[in-house]
Amino acid sequence: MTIIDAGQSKTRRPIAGRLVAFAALLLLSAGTSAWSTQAGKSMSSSSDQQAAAPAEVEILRGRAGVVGRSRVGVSSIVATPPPFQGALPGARATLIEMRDAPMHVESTLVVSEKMLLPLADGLHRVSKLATPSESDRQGHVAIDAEAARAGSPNTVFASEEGRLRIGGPEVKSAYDLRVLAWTPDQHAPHSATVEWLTAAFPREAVPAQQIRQQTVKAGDRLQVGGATLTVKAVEGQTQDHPAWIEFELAPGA
Amino acid sequence: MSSVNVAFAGVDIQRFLGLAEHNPVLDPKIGPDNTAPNRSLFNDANGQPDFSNSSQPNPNDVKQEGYGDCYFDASIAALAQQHPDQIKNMIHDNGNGTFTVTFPHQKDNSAGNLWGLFGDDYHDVKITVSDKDLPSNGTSSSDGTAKWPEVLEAAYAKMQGGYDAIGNGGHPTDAMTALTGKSADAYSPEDGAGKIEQALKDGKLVTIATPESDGNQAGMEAHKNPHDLVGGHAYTVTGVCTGPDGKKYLELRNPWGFDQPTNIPLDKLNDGSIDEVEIGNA
Repeated sequence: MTIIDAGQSKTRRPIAGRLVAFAALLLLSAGTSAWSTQAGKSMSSSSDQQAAAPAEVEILRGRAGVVGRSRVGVSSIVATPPPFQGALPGARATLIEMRDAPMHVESTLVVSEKMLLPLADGLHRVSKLATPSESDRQGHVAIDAEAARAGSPNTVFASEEGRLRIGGPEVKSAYDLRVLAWTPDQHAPHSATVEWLTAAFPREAVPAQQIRQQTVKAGDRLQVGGATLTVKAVEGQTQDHPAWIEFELAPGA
Repeated sequence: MSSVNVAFAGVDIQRFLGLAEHNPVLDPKIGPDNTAPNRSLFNDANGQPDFSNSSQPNPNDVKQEGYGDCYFDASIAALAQQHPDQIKNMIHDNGNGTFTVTFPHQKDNSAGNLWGLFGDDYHDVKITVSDKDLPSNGTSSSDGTAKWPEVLEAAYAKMQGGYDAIGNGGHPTDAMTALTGKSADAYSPEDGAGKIEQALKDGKLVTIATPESDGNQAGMEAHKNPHDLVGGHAYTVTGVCTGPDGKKYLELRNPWGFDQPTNIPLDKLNDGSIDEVEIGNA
């Protein structure tokens, strides 16, 4: 039976093993109340209230945190092979950013260390990606608390390998938009082909007429899930970010 | 003994002894919003504070943050969906900034019961927590939502020996049993798939757990969950629906409160994306 959450997977001891552990723990914890209501050592202390605002926010893999005005979840952190055929070296993380204003929007991005992460208040630097290890069993992502470049909550991005979700949080009221192709390529695109469909069901279950595709360039507009997306820029992959489309988001058609 | 329970749940001896390395991510801090007057125990149907105490807990109030207790958050969301009144009955607002949470019918493994050697003994366990016990990175603490998930989490942490004891992984069946005082079982995806729809109809709590992904190995695709589920994570099963292709689909809720999974075909539960299905009586 596995122990679930974020990087921990343990197998429960068999019953005999439990009894041995039980006896050992009794010796170690003699005198402790069985139904103790003592707060653990990790309960809050007053000194915590006076701590200065952190320079960066650490989020463990499998968990979520708050950066600026966004919530950010860390879905995965994996090592990548050495540079090969244009692949970015080092660890990569799949991060999901969520904001509620001006409407519910989620953006999933695959980023490397030192890249910029678009959040509701601007572009934040991903200062560290730590893959799971003996000393850091879950791995974690550190994100600069201050935006490296100020932005707007109305600016959203659809990136290479990523997903832009408009609406929600329930999938039945959301649409997922993905980039299918960059023209001429992801390094210097002048346009991109995107596809969007309901977030409720996998693509193969959705009738073809309900799957929309369009090739877009700067200045084009899309109507997606009760929102208007205006293309501000189609940008190629750099050291700072994957190839992405920058949209201006306006609720309503 | 809460510490013994923790050991049985698989937490390593070093952590039990308090020797685990200091982890700033897990150290709770009191947030400015925890005692804010605009936060109520339960919110109304529009998500607004309701101080009349007439509103019901809602699964969407649950928003996991800094602690690795998705197993607990997925379970309280399941209970909020199936039996919101049970949560209301569990939490008593003492009116002075403290709340007393009753965990019903908990098994007593203590020395006072001779460790259950001569039969099991059960008690209701009452835990009192205050606003000051609620950490800023606890469940649902970040954006002024209803307090009840934080209150339950803080009480569960106290009962189990602290946030370190509950915030580094656990099992949904343990959380379900703590919340309801009733049994809960885990099934393989193959065995569980056929039980989910009826279990939901019967008012049972249903969650799923995903397999761990190994970030040490190279390559993204090798670790990509077929349905983009987070690895080593628990989700609440909120329903079974019929898709546009006529197939039955599982509706899931991520305890983060966002990144909700696209519905998963019920006949694809054994494709490696799900480790097990947990069903708890309520």
